[in-house]
Amino acid sequence: MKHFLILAAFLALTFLACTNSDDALFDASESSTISISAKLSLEKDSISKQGKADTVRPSDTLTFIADVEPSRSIRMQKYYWTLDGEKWAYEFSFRSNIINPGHHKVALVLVDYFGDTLSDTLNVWVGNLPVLDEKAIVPRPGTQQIPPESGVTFAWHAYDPDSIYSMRYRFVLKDASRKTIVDTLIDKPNLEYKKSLDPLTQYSWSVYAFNEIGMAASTNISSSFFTMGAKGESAIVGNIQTSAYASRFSSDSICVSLTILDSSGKVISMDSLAGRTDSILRYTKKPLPPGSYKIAASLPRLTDYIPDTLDIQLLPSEVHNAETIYLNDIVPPTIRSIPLADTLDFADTLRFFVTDGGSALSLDNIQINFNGRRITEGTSFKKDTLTIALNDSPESVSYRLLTLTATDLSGNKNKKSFYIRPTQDWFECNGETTLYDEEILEVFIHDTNPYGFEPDSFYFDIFKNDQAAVYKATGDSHSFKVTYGAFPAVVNHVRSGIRYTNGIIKWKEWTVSRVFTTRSEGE
Amino acid sequence: MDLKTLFGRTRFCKAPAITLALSVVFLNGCLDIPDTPDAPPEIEHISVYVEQEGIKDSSILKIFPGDSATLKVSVFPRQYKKDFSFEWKRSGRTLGTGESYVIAPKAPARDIPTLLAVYDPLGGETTVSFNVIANTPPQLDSITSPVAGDTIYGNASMAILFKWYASDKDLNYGDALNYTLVIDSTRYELGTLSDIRQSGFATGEHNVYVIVTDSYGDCDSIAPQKFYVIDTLGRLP
Repeated sequence: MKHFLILAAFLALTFLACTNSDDALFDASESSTISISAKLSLEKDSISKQGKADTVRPSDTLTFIADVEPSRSIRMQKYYWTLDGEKWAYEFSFRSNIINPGHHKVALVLVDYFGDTLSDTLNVWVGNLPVLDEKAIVPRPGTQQIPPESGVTFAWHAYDPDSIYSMRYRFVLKDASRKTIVDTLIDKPNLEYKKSLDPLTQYSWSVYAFNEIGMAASTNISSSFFTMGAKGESAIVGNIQTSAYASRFSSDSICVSLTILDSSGKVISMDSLAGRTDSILRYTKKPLPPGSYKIAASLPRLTDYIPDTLDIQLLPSEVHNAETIYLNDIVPPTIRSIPLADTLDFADTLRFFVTDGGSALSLDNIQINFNGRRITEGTSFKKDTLTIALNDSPESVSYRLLTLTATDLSGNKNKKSFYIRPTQDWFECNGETTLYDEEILEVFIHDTNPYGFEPDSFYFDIFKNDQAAVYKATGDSHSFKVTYGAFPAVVNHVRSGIRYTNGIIKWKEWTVSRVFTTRSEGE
Repeated sequence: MDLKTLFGRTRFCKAPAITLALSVVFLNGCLDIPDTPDAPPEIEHISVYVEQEGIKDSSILKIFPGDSATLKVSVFPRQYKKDFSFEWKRSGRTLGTGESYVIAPKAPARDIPTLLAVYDPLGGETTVSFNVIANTPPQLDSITSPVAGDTIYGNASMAILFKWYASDKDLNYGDALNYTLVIDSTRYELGTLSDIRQSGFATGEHNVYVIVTDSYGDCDSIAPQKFYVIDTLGRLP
């Protein structure tokens, strides 16, 4: 045994003698600090939205993520997650939900190779959404005759289904002009407003419920009530809305004429309500004695809108919340070309009238398509005139289609198409000609088409016999002479044409104006 | 040995403790490593409850001050209760001894204990603090609007005033009253409001009652009372 120990010691010394003991020394520069970080993310959010705390529902799935620096592959003894101090999971990252309502602490624990323990803690508040009863509210929606001088009490019912979180409420009270009178946060489900209110006025109120961890009820209360006037006095309140209310375009200023007539047709009042098309105009007429009334509303300056009337029977001490009056524009914009034609010669700039009696139009309201392609550049719209600069070659072989679509603020749409006629000279021929007696006219035609098409025949329709003279083409031109007698009228319409071997026929019209220096008898 | 310092694992006489420990060793010796032989048995809790009219209350120790009530002590495990002695105290003054203390009807606050001192046979001591709530239940006196049998002329949109009165002798001692108004089976949780205006009542018979609840959960109500609505403002066809 002794010999064996001596041998072992000898061997150990032998091996160690060859090693560099400096390598076994701790070198701080080669060490790195280990740090961990726990994060959580709601699955429904982007994974990039990570945090150290969150408020979630029991049904929400959370992703717990462990970050280890310098990397997860460092040597370590163990790692795990705890939920409220109890071991919970053993992955670096995992998904789970926490079903028990309340505040929970989720900790990431890592024991490194040397036995040092690192941890990082997350906070999670779990709860179900609070419940707000929209029905059992005081006062009930539309309640009339609330005494204005003695204030008003409000009450509602809400609760936390988990019975662990306290409730908070945001209460808002607004007057008839939507001006906020009260906007407060309270912790009890009722409020006593003790200040006086205006008589014969509609007030609106709303309640939003939250629990103490900021979760909002899925519903809220939005209600209104009416205050009482002097004995027997009544009032009418109502809204006016135009068909341009929800326009996808910009809004316009409007001025609504509102007339109230009594049962005998006598005008009680006539008012102008200024507003915009994208807002609801609110009107109030008070005090009024009970009875029958007619309300007429119109937009006098906007002829496309159809006036509307409403009959009302006003009860004693009632603030009548009249039906909304809708002023509808059902007339689409009009589109006309400046020469009032549907077929237009190609030109660098084309102009059109685009008008609407219900709203001021802009380029936003007009869509321009040329040959199936929408164009926006080179267009302008000023004082009902649309100008389009056609950025295209005039040398097209065919007609092209220009489509204008104008939509007014009420969504009425007019779509109109124009044919753009090519203006390219395919050939040269006689132009407007003045012919005197005894003169001989040389009729000529010379093909200049830029496409290299080959002429097949030349046509001349000059004798008014409904049958054009046809000459087989032997080159790219042809001519012949005609005496003045062939043109008996003062103005003679003539056509010259070419038929190409590919079947295309092109015509050009011209006129011969005669000057009669001597008149034969009988003419 | 000071029992107070060992509250929750009270030390008793060594003899029974050793016997208990030995029993554990003999019974479980083959199963697990035994506890230290002199480890004391654990007293899990000592608590006070109140009994009045045969009803036990160990939560908020609430009593009705008009009747006598008895404070009692509960020790768990129960078998060690007999080894202790008890003193019922208030403001350092001993009001009584024994496992129970009788609170006389309409007893003044100075005669209601707030502390129970517990002594073990070796002179160890622990204390249990508590607070007896002498609560008078609220009383709903009347619904003054609409009074029973009232006929109201109006229509379904007209606000009707509902007003009632309730009383509670403890209102000056931090108690508060909350109301639940029930109209035609619809409950309105009104908190501390004691009058509201509500609409929505069609022509015909309706009934209403109010439940009043104080801060300690005692409540009162009255039988539903009827009122009638006649629509005199209905719109002409």
